[in-house]
Amino acid sequence: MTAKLELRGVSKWFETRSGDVVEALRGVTFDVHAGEFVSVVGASGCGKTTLLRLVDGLLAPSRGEVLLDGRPIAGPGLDRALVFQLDALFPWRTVLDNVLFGLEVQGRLGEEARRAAGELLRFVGLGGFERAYPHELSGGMRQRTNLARALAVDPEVLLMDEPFASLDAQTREIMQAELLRIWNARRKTVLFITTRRSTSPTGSSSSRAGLARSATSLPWTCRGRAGWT
Amino acid sequence: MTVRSVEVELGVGAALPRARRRGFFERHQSRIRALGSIVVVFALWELIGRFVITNRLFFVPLSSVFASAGDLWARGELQLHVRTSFLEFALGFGAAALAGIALGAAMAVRRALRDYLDPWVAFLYATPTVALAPLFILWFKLGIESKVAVILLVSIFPILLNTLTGIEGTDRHLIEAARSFGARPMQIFAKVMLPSALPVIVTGLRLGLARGLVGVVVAELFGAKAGLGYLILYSAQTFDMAALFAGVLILALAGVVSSEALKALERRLAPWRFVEVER
Repeated sequence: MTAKLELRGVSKWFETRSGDVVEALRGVTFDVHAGEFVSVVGASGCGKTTLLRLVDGLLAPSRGEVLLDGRPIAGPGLDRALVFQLDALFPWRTVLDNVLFGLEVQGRLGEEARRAAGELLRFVGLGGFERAYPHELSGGMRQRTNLARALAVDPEVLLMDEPFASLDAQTREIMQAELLRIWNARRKTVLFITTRRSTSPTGSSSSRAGLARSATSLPWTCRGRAGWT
Repeated sequence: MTVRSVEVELGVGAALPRARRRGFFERHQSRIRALGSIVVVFALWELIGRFVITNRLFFVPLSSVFASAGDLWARGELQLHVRTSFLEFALGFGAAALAGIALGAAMAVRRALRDYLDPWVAFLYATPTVALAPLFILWFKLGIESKVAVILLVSIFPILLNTLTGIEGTDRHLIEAARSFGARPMQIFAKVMLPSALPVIVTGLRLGLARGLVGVVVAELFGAKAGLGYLILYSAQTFDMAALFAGVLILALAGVVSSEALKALERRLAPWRFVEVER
């Protein structure tokens, strides 16, 4: 099996206003195969979110390279979608229009896309809420909208940044089961970030995922740094 | 005693039955109170005008104000004043809205432009610009241009500054989400920054509107041939209190109506900001 995603000695540091250099990642190397579900587990402040932003292309590495299908990542692309920690939904858009946002900016909006988005919403259990606004939804529903928005662009790689951290235990469990169901049905490559092993869907006892593995066994330098989550 | 757990089936996403429809008075409570307050004050005005301050040089009952307005209307004067002031205001405020939003947005996304314009915006905003009205009359004569210039100058700054802060205040998580989906800078501006700033921009328009109405009157006080400000000035000089109050009331009404219209627009544009709270 070839690697879908490769990180080769990736380091990232930031310069603060006062001129200090804060190191978020140092020499991270691992790869993710196509269709794999990989959880990255680590304490808060060890650069996990930075890692996801590098893979999404929102940030460029300070050293090393991030490769997708063997090619370096130059910026955000249609082949990856990031599910944010906070539901970064647009409050002035309905649930359906939020889900269609990615397709809209990529100029892929059509009757077919609308129909598919409606189907996707039913798939994540939000059928009938197409015209609702985010402020009318519960936290769990917003997070499912968030997930549907990422799935709508039909990415090859799904990047998830503690997407269920803000949810209560019960909703989180439901959402994790749902995520595994989606992953099983659609066979996306998933890079999932979480602080606790128990909040990783693959670490839960209900896991039926054969290919899932945890990335903590990877050579992972986790440096506790306050301020970087 | 036994320990047991109860599992409750929660209707995830199930539609709830409609809440009990509240009665007419309950639904319109705030409006009914406001209306009652207006009625009481107007009644007091009438009574004071008739029985307390009977000297017509100082005060007149409300009924005389209406009579005077009707009289002016019959002679075709009121229409002329309203039309003149309205045209001046529409041109001045329209220009202020267009220029204020365009400049504010440009300053929000172009750092250099902002650095160049910041001192002048701060300087002119702090200046009581109505003080420049006599100068504008001198420059542009008694015609409409001088009034438009005054209204533009007094009402542009709240619009510009609100546009600037509104766009700058866009939640960076939303910008990042848009970027993550491959949105280009122009798309981020049009689809994220502008809609996010829109309610704040409308608030700026509301503030500018109030200042613009003051601008109309002040500009006309310094020299005009027609308009509500002119009517007020002329009526004061001829001790015609009823006509003076008629002019003031029309201006107040215009202010309230346009301000309420913009408030309604704010609610429409940003319903998530006005989630109803039980009080």
